[in-house]
Amino acid sequence: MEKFSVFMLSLAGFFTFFVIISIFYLFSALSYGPLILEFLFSQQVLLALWVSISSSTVVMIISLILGVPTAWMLANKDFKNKNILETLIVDVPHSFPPGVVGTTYLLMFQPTSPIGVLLDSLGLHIINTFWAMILVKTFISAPFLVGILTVKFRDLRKSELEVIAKSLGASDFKTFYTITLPLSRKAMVSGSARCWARALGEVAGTIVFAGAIISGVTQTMPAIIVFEAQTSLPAALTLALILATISIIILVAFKLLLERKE
Amino acid sequence: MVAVKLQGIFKNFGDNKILENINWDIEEGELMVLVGPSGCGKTTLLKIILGSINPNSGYIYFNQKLMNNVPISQRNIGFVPQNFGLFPHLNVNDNISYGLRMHKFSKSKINAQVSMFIKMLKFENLELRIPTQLSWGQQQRVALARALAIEPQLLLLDEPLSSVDWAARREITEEIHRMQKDLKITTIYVTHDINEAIDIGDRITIMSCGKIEQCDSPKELIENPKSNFVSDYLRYINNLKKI
Repeated sequence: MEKFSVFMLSLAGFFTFFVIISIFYLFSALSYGPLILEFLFSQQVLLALWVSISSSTVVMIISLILGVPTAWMLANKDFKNKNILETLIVDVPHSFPPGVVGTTYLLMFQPTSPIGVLLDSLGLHIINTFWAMILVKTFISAPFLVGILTVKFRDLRKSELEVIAKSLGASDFKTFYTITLPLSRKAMVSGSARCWARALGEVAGTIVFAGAIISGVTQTMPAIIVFEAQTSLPAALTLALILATISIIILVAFKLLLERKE
Repeated sequence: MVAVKLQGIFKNFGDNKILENINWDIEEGELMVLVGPSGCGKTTLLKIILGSINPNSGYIYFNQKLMNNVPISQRNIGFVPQNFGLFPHLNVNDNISYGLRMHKFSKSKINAQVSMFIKMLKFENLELRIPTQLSWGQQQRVALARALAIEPQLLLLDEPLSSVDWAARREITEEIHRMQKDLKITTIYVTHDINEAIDIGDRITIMSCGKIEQCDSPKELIENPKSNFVSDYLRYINNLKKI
């Protein structure tokens, strides 16, 4: 075998081992059998699971509604400083530590800020609510979907299939509906899954901006795991296992749905 | 009668001048071949006529109607790009009928038109195949049928034989020629192969560096080349049968 292949395979082997050993340690929580049962019947855990899954799903839906047009614009419209805009809305949120995002929103929505004053006059309060959590999670997760879709839409633009559809009489909407959407389905499903998974795992921004302490409203599973990890490692590990298992089941369901349709 | 008229077309991409003062007339029903070396601006000119690229200045007329601001979907152009551009998620039937459905033709008209093309192409057993299950030659024919099915006022073919093997070229060239004459559709056929141009064109336009060097019948081009570039380009002809 050539030295290059040995070098690449060694690094790939190290990474694979690192990931598998991490998953193995997570599943070692299976040894805390009674604890798993206890948590599965705990109202606080069930509510946290519900908040985590429902908020991630809401974030995914909002990301699709706002992300598809954004990706379409980035891929199809040419304008000055588009690269800078793309960096700002796709790449920068990736590099922001979630805690910083939460702090920024605290500043933006504090009662004395212009937005805070405006919302207050409308009788709306965001900080420490379910919608605070949605806001933080959307900022952090939506760029995953936008990034994947932008690449796909660009490929489609390059292929000229949309131009051909229009030359055959399709309006912009019909072109989008009959060509762009069906040919982007895979990217849309995988982008949505990544967005959902990222929203599910988000914790620091949620703690800072949404508080993450009101059971059934802002308290998510990752937040409980972080709090538990400071006092009881077995409890934290068990909760992480429950969350990871449910997350894996939902992501596999996404994948199966995609393959079945193909 | 002039079917397509371009007047003073200029196009730049950044600082690169792609097209410079293009003035070009295409007669109704004629098969005009646009030929020139790679990068001379042929495809850009074709896309300006199609409407997918806007010129920096100049006018485009179809049958004396100004088309500059008419969207692609309302230009009624059949377009076959280099890679054929078949919709990969649709079968042969659905590809051919796509434009008819978009134009909201009646179901019976769609069925009749699709059946006619399926029969013409001898594709009776291939109707339900998706593009990846077809050979290059078959894909090329489906793309042509899809473009012709909408009964376009203009047919644009962008190097349609570039990915077809030499054996199939002559057969497909003759088929395009026959279909174009039968249906009397004004056609612009882009190629970089002067032999293909001589084989198929009623008139040939030779382009170089974003400018039209000469636009004439094959015979006139051979007998009276108007520039050194045209003379040089015509040296590559290896088939003088038609002239």
